[in-house]
Amino acid sequence: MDRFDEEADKVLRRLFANLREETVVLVRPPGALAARRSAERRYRDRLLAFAGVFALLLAGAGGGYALTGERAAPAPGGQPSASPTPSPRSGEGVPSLPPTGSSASSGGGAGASVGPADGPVPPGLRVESVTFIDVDSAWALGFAPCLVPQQWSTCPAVVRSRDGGKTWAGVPAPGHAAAYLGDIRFATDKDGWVVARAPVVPSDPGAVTGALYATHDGGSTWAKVGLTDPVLRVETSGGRVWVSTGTAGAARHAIYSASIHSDTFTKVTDASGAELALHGAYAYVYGTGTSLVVLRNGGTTTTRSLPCDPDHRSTVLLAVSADQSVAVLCGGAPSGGDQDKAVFTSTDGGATWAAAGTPDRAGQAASLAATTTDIFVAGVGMPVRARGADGTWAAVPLAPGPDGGFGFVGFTNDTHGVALAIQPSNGLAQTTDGGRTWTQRLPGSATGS
Amino acid sequence: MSESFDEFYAAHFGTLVAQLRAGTGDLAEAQDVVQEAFCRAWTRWDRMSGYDDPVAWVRRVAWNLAVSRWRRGRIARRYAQRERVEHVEGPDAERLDLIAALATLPTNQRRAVTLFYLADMSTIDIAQDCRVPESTVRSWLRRGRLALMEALGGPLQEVDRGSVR
Repeated sequence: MDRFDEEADKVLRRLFANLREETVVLVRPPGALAARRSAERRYRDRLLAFAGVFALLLAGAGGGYALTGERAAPAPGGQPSASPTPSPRSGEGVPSLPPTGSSASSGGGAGASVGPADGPVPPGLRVESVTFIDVDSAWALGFAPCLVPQQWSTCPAVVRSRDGGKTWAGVPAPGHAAAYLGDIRFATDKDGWVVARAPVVPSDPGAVTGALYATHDGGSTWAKVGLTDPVLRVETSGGRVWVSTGTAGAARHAIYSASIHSDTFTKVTDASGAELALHGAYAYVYGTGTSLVVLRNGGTTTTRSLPCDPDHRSTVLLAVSADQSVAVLCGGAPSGGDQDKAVFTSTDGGATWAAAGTPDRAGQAASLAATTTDIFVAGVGMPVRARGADGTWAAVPLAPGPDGGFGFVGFTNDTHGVALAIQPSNGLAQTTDGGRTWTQRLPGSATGS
Repeated sequence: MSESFDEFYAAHFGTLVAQLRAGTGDLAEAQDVVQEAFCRAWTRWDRMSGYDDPVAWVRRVAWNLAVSRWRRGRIARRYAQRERVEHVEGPDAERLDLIAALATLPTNQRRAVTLFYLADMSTIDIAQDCRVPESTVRSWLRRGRLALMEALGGPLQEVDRGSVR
């Protein structure tokens, strides 16, 4: 190198270092999983194309040999049959090959999945809602710093797991909107809903309130559902999706229902509460009063009374473990981080109630879950507490992190459950043995044994 | 096997995109071709994972994809140019950043300069990668540096041009 080369070399090294630094920050890798899946999809497509061509060649060259090897019967007039084997249509394989793409069911690995291609989990994700359709397939809704520059800094995020929560991948989130607080629910691997209850930062230009989004292709695309009033809750069970609408804290709310395959919602009833708890064909609607509306098979309405006395109506939580097996927690006014809590159970859909003990006063209850044997309470400033078959209440081995508690606990069946730590960590913990042991899955501060 | 591929992907995706961005001048295009190259790498990963330098294979595939896309684009651009009146913009020194300057280089020089400065490859390694003699690479680098400095204008003033022989 002469002097010019050396000087130019110095300048260019600096400029290229800047370019590398700037580019690495901007890069958004679609992910190794996406690369692997694309490669595997192409391989399958090539196989299908080859099989299709082979079948056509057989049909044409053989002048009517079916794939079974038997000669096709001549057409009237002694001419060979013109089309003994149909060529595969889009989305269909030839008969000897397994189904592909959207015609397959969930849970069978990359080739059998439906929905969008997986991307990376957004850095800084905070999970606020999670839903399992079975012990393997789950979606979680949260928010994270926007990957693409927007007028707002935090964007909604949805992640998907196909292995029971062991690994997660990023998938499209509904709404071109700033991050919102809300819930996600899926009924099948295709049909799901997200309610955007309120914006995380109300002053954000992209803030949304009370919006309901639906997908019927596994989350590849989301459409906003047109409901007049703001949506507060969404739940799904028994082939139907239920939403409550109105203003949070208002005295009256409307309850709508639709088939999981449709976005046409029908108003079912008015109710004083907006909270929903479902099992099978039963929907329970409640609020902070004592009114419990029981809806059966999408329409038949019965009104029951909750057993919460006037001193224990600050927090009312309901959980359903079977069609008519219901648990309710009645919480008193919080005082210095403590709260009186009383739990009751019913096995006749709320017609009669039996006392089920009083969990420790420490902490404020936020979520209730029930299996056929146990009841679980999660809340702020408390560990998750469980009432076992022996009727005693005890903390499960899932200690709250420094943020101090869990905003949600829920069970897919008697053994598989999930708990969400409250902000700022929003960690997700899971159990597969009915709550005896818990494992931390998504980033967070909660610790389990 | 997928774990080693995932680690390989995570370790090299960003740096390869930086190199291809310099080569193509377009970040999205760079990400596309690098992702496609990784996609092709997965189909032969059982063999590639035994290579001494599997990243060289991915880089070469990504470069070839970029060049082939560029050629297809050039054909389309030529056709489009025949169909419309061409407007030529005057020189605008403010817009001449490094990526724009790189775009003025012939493909071979751009590739050599990019591999030298962004992949930290020696002239011998670049020669092997491009399948040319090392002296050719040195020549490409020298001409590339000269052209870049002229195109960049600003940084050129820092250099004493009187010493150029």
